[in-house]
Amino acid sequence: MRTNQWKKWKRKYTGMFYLTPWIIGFLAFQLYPLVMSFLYSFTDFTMLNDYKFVGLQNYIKIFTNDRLFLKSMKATCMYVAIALPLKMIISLFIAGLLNRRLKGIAVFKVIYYLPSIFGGSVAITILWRFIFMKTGLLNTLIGAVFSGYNGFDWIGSPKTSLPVISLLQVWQFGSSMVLFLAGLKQVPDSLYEAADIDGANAVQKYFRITLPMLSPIILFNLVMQMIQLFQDFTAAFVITGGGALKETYLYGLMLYENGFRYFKMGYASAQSWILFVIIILFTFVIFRFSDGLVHYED
Amino acid sequence: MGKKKWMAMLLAGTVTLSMLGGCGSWQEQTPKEAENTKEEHTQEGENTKDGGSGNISLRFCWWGSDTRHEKTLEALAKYEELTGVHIEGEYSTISSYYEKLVTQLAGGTAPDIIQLDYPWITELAAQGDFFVDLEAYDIIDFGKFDMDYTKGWCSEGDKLAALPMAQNGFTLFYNRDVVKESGLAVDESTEWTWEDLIREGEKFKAENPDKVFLHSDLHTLEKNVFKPYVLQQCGGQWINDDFTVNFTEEQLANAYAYLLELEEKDLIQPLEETMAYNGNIDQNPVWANGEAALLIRWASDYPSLINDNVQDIGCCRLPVPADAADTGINCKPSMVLAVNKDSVSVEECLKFANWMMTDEEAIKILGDCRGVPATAEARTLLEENNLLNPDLKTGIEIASQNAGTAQNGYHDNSEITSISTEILSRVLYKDLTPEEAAGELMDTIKEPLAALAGN
Amino acid sequence: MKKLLSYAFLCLVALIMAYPLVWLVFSSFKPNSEIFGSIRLLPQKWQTDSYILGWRGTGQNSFGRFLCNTLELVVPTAAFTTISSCLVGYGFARFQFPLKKMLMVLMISTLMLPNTVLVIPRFILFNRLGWNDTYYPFIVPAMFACTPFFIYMMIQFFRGIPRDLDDAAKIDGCGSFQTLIYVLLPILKPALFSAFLFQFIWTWNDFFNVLIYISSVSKYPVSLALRMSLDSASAVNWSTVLAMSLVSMIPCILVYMFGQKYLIDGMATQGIKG
Repeated sequence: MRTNQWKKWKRKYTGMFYLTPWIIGFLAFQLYPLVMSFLYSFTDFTMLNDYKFVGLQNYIKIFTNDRLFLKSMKATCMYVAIALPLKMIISLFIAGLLNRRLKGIAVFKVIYYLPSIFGGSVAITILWRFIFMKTGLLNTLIGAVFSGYNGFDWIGSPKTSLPVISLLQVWQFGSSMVLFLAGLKQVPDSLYEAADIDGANAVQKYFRITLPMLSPIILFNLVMQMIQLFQDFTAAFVITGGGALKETYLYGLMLYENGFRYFKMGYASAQSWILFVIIILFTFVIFRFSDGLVHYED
Repeated sequence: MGKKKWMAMLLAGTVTLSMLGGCGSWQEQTPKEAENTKEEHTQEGENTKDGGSGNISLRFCWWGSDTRHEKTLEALAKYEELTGVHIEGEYSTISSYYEKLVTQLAGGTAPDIIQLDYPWITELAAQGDFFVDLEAYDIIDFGKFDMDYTKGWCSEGDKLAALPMAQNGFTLFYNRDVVKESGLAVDESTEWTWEDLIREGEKFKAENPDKVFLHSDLHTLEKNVFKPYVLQQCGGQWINDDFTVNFTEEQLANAYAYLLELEEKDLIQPLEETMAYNGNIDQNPVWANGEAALLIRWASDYPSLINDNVQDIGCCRLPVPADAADTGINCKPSMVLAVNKDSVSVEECLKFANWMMTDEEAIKILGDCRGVPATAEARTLLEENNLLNPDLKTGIEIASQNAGTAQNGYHDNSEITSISTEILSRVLYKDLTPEEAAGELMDTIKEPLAALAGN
Repeated sequence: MKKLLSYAFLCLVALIMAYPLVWLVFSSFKPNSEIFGSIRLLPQKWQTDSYILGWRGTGQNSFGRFLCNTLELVVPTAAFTTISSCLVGYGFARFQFPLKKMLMVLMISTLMLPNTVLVIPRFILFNRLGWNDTYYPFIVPAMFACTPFFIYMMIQFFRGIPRDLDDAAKIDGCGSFQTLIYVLLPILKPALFSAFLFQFIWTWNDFFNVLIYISSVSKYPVSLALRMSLDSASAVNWSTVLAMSLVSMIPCILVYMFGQKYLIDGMATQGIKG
């Protein structure tokens, strides 16, 4: 009798047992900051002062009296819209190419991943200027093809500065690629062998075996990259500082400045929670949309 | 399997090592340091402890480059030799220095002695009381300082919150090589007006179309041209202590119009070209290749402007109109030194500060790593010992002789500066006319000013 | 023919990816005026001492010290993250239990709030625990799977493995933990390696969080040390900064190259035989 109950109990709660580290971590290190940031959003917290409760004032101000909010939101959405598809498609495509036993493939894998190791290094600032300044690499290359080309300021011109910094994300597609490679490794060869026996060609194999088996990872990558891109501001921070008519004033940068430079931590908290809601909405949409498309082996 | 085991052992080994806290031969942490770190936590919010017997250990934070770090560390070592007080240097770059300091102040873990930029005194004062009133203790030898200058820039109400460490001033730099080549008539004694600048510029560009007349970026234009131009018309403070402003919309419009003129006459590079180097003016290839004639900057930036192609730079006075209400030449201290009110021992901190700024040996060790020292005695001492860069000294001298009104901390308030810079950029990107810009600036700063006033 | 095309394409992309890096390497031998003034690849004037000067560092610490510090910080963080995320991911992926959906949503949503506004409460919290100026604010949360990114990642990888394997293991008498260790982990090698690699590199490159928590220069990791000498009021030797930036990338590259085999082998043959 007792062993049965124990077994039932075990079955019900074993999963939770494995969750213990996260539960402890969440309660100890994440719940408090989360709740505090939510509370701060209703105050005029400046980090150094005692704060006053101001109700919805911050939120109202964001929507009615902040000239930079909309601009920043728009810039960030554009940033995501440019970087996300490019990054996903390129990394998926390249991972597919690299997933073969060709000689020397390891060299390529290393080279493609190198840019991602940089992060937000100071070298990036120098590098981006080297490529995109008026007398930079890109203009020189274009000039070699089209004579009479005078050069263009890619970073300084308001219309092009955002795509230029988005390219940093695209150049650093390596991490997406590694995840896809890992995912591809999990696809059993036996499936491909069986398909070969059935006479499938490469395209069919890709769309009927590879993509479905990879779909959990594709979904993961898509959602995670999107979340990260919405919050990221490294490129804007090190390359443009939000400049060129604030065309690259990414949301994360605005939060940083509001919180740490202008002492408006309460206001920044409110702005963060608005971003939070937007991200949740987009994530929800992606999950809904992917329901029929993602294939799980369990 | 073998590699996996090796990897696992490596991981376990590193984890163990890290737990034991060290990397063997490179580890230098003394028991004193470990004790000090503990001490720091326990004195959070506590008032000054009795210095008395036992080993005092203080923390001093500053920003700078390698030279400054080395020289300051040398000075700290010397001080320990002389007094037995150990001072731990916490040094890094200016980037995010302020953000880190604010975080530390919020958490009560800020160092005892702090190097600051003067506007931070006012900004932080609005948020709380963090710094010691230096005049409340009889330790600093105030006789050695120019007290007018000191009180003008380092006060917080009636409290003297900091000591100036080095002088600075707006300077018109000229590249001697380019000047010689092009025959531009400028030397140390040059005293132009803004119209003179344009006139000389047009002449210069006519003969040297490939060179840049006035090297600039958005940051410099706002700080060193726009603000002085306006202050020269209206005089006084940029933002008064009562949060009103002295300038009128018309005066603002004049300034914007002047800057637009510079751009239209090709005397400065278009903003598209210089935005990539905003804040890093010496990294612009025009300057790196020695193709620019003039530059308006802080005198203290002198060392960073020298490179392979630009070896010889001279200084002269910022352009000032003949009928100016004020020269508008900002002579702020490049950095100031304050003492944390919650320090373990305020007296020891003050003693150190006094030593560092007035003791002969200290001055000689530090040299001009922070620029031209703020005390006259130090300046003379360095000059006698050939430790002071002559061009830097000239620049500072010219600026100080023509100094404008000492500005309060609101002059460099982050938010207002950010607004002003953005509006200027819109003028130069042809998004706003000077008149529109003037109106917009007046409107947009109302809110931050009200917020400041509310505090 | 197809192979040739593949190689050609891969080489072209490699060129685009790598050329900027090659330029950086050569720039670590150039004087400032050449780094900023021209786009030539090779230096006109070779500065051969940038690596030596950079390694020597300023004041009391050589760059070796900073590299050591970084390893001390990064290796435990990455290792613990991988282990804890694996365990938690296993729980979420393979088991049903009450409140599972809610917990999962909670876990993922912690990712969606930007770090900026969490910094101050976190700082105050870790300060109260006395972890100021140590690496504990990074290592301890790693032990408790405080990076949902990796938990979710492990979940997705787990769900790509057929349950049949689990069932087979159970029939063979394995408990849940044994199933994890003996059956699933070998298959998950690529995922584990990815988790370790990513956390390694992200922590290696983390600037702001480390800045806030570490005040002693002797404890600086590489991300802070690289920026230590940048000041607008003095001459910065950019070749040295670049040289050390490149040197600091080497451990990351080594970790990646070492783990390559996990991306090559992985699960060549999987499935239930017989």
